[in-house]
Formats: sequence, C-alpha cells, structure tokens
Amino acid sequence: MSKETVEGITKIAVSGFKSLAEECAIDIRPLTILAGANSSGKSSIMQPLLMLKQTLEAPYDPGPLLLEGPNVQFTSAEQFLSKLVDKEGTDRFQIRIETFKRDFFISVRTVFKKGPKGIEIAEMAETQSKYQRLSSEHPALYPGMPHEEIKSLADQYWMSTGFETVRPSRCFLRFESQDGQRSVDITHDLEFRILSSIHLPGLRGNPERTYKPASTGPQYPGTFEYYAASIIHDWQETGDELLKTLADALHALGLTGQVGTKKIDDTRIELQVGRLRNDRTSETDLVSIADVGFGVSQVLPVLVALIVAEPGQLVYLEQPEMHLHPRAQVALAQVLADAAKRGVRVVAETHSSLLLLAVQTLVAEEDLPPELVKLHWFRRGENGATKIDTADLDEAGAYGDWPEDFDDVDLKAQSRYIKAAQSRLAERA
Amino acid sequence: MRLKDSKRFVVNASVARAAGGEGATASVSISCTEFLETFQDECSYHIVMTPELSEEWEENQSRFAATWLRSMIARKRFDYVEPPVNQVLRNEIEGTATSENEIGDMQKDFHLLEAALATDQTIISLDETVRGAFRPCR
Repeated sequence: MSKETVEGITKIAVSGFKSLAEECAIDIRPLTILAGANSSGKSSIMQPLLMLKQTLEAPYDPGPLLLEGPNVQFTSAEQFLSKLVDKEGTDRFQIRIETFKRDFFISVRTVFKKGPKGIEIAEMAETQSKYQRLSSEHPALYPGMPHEEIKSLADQYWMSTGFETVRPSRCFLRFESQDGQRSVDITHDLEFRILSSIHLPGLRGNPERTYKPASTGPQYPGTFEYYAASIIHDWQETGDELLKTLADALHALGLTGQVGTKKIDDTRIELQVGRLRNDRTSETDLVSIADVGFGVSQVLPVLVALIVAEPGQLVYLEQPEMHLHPRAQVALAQVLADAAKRGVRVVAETHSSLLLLAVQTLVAEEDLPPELVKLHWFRRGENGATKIDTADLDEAGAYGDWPEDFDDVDLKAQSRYIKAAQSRLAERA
Repeated sequence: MRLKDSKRFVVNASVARAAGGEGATASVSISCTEFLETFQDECSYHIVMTPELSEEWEENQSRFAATWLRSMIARKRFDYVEPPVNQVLRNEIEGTATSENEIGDMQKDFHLLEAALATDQTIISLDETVRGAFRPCR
C-alpha cells in the first residue's frame, strides 16, 4: 500500500542534463531537503521542471522549451546538455515526473533533443499504476508516429478513439484527430501541477520601496517574490488570519513583530514591517521593508509562499536560510515543518547545517512525522557526473549513513582551532 | 540497528569535557579531540549511552564534544542502553576497596562498568584514580 496520501509531484528524475549525465532521481516528500557542495547538481535536478514551467506559462507559444525565461536562463542547448570528461556529449536530455492523484501514480517521461531547428520533443511515454510504482511504461509516443500505431495505442491505453496524430503542444505531446478539431491532453494533471508550482530562486533581488500589484494565487507564474506584497495586502484587506500567521512566523524568527502593507495608488503597494523586533502592538510604528535589515526582505517571500501554498502544491525554495542569523535559521525549520504537515510539498535546497539539525529535532520531538521528510545529498563523481545519496529520518531524527558532511566540516574546523589555540596557550605558559 | 561487526564503547564524560573544553591541559585536550575524531572516522565504532552517563555528558561536554555526539546520533552510531543495577557485583567490588574514599570513587563509576558489561566491555576514561581502584577486580 502506498504511503502517499497527498496529491502532487512525488518524484523527479533527470538525465543528460548538465552534471546529471546518468539518470538521477529524487523522491519528493512534503519536506524534501537537497544538500551538497556547491555545483554538485542540486539546482540542476530542478531546472528541467522549471523550464517546463516557464514554457507552459509563456504568454505566447515558445515551442517545445523556453530556454530563457523568468525561472531559468539558458541561451543555447549546449549550456545544459551533459558533457562528461570521459564521454562524448549528448544531444538529448530526459525528464520524468511522477505525480500522485486519487490512488494513482502517473509518470510522464519526456525526451528532448537538439535538432536542426533547436530543441524538439523526441518522445514521450506515460506510466500509470494504482497504489505502487511497479507497472511497466506504455509505449512511447513520438512526433510523426504512423496513424495506425497511434489509433491502436490511443484505444488500448487511453480509451480514446478517433485520434490519428501525435502533435507537440509546447513541452508535451498530445493526441489529435486528423482534422485537428479534437484532442486529448494526457498530461493535463502534470501540467496543472507544474503550473501550480511555486519557485523562489536563490537571488531574490533588493527590497523595493514599492511593489506592483500582482495575482494572489493560487497560481504564480514566474518566480514568487513579485507576489508576496499583493498576497499580504490581500490578507490585510480581507482580515485573513494568515496575516497573523505570517507575523507570528516573523516574530519567531526574531525579525519583527508586525507586517502590513500600504496602498500608495493602483500601481504601487508598500510593504511595511514593525520597526522594533518585539513590539507586536503599535500599528503605527511600521517602516518600509527597504529600511530594515536584508534578512527580512529575503525571508518574507519564503514565509508567504509556505503559508499561502495549498496541499499538494510544490514549493521550491533555493537557500531559504539566506541572510538569516543562525537563531532564525533554526526557527525557519518550524515554518517548513508546518507547511509540510499541511500537505504542501516543500523542496528546500540548503547549505544550512542548523536548518537540518532543527528539522531532525522537530522529528525527535514528535512535532514532525519522519515519513514526511526526505534527504538527498548531491556529490560529483570523478568523471564529473552527479550522484545522489538519499536518506530517511528515523523517529529520533537520525539519518544513518547519509554522507552529510556539515558536521565533518564543523568538527574539523573546531578541532583545528582547538589544537592551534591550545598549542599557543601552552607556549605562553 | 547495530552492525554485526561493530564495537560499542562507553566513553566517560571526562573525555567529553577535556576535548577542547576548559580546564584540561593542552596535550590532554588535543589528545581527546583527536581520539573523538578517530572514533568517528571508524565507521564500526558506536558510543554507548545510559541515562546517568547522558546527564554527566550534558553537564560536562565541550562544544566540540556536543557537536561530535550530535553527529554520532545522526549517523545511528549511538546505542542507548539501560543496564540493570548489578548489586551482587557492586558488593563484591566494594569488598576489594582499601579505603572509604576508594569505595566512593568506585560507586561513582559503577554505572559505567554495568554499561560496559552490557555491551562490548570497554570504557574510555581519563580517570586514572578510579581505574586504579578497579584494577584488583580484574
């Protein structure tokens, strides 16, 4: 029986993309931690999904893949197709995304290749299975597939008759009738999950004096930082309790006691926070977010994303701990855990040993069920290819043989200091 | 779960205090730090902890030792045991003491002995006085 109870994206597997030359896969649990050294492949495993997101969200049809968009920026396929030191470069990459919906795991594998006219879809295949991930993949679809083969497959696997053509529709393939009047979009749920995903990049820009009004969800095209001010403004105007949840989170992080907005005109919203960290009562003592420490403006969209996200929605956070004091990094774990417990699928890419320790502590304190957490450690092999080691937490928050090296670095740094300082003190004595 | 070929050691809080902590001489401090590092590098080594020993670590551990212990827990190389008090053994050992002070020293560390007997029979300690007191019992 599957452990999954929450719908959404449950697995991502990528190959042929940057250092992910061989297929690398990560299970997505409600709290998924990606860790590892710089340039080990943590961001790379999420970038194909972000490319799909920006392709589906483009206001025009950009073809099979929008390489340069708000979420990821490439200008040529050579920049992301794998080239290992001991192998010839590839002309294709693959992304497989698994989603869970109503007891079914549905996996869609899409292969993109570099053709004479740019990136094109080479093939796409789907797998469906109830409760567990054991069934075999349906035959792959590809552009230009013979009509008879398409008719047979559509009827056999998707119970759809009268379809004779397979055509690209942005980054996926779909069945169409010969006259193009009728179509079946077999990736409908996956597209919904990708379009619903929230992305907060590692570089979140400088705090602004004012922000432009934006949508308040539930879908957030592009990157999420542009939506935070409008969402907070909406909570404030409608008296939503989530504004208090946000203020509580900011207070728990030791950053500020209050948060609010001021509408300047129809095109500008000012984000305001309490001037004093512990003052939670004086509503008049608010200042622009541009006038307080950088940590507040950097973490505010992270908190808003975690609070506003709905169960099943994927929230991908790059360095959520950025610019935060260690005490705030520890407190941030609680906000991540609260979102995970609501069924949000949080993917956090982090270098913070304190954040990881705080997650382990919440598990050991029985605040966060260990089955909601998944750890993935990224490293590069000798030929440059990424390898991923995965671990689960037990009820004590321990992860066993996972090659987490934060402690090693900490211990070695402390040991080096102890030896140097003790030797110096001994000389002095 | 403990690996079949792993080795479980009882590490006295004196080591946790001396490893980078205040009050230890430079050479002892560095030796204890190096000992804990070597212990961690040897994947088959586990640390044994009892409720009483845990309290002693809590009271005495240096920052280095605290980080080290946290890492051992995370790596599932931390074996928590609650050995029963072996009163017969305690009485017999006390009988070998040559003074009241020696009895006091031995009583203080009986729990280490019981933890070691319940696991792989090894105690790591800096306390030479107690070691000397227990020596006739071997």
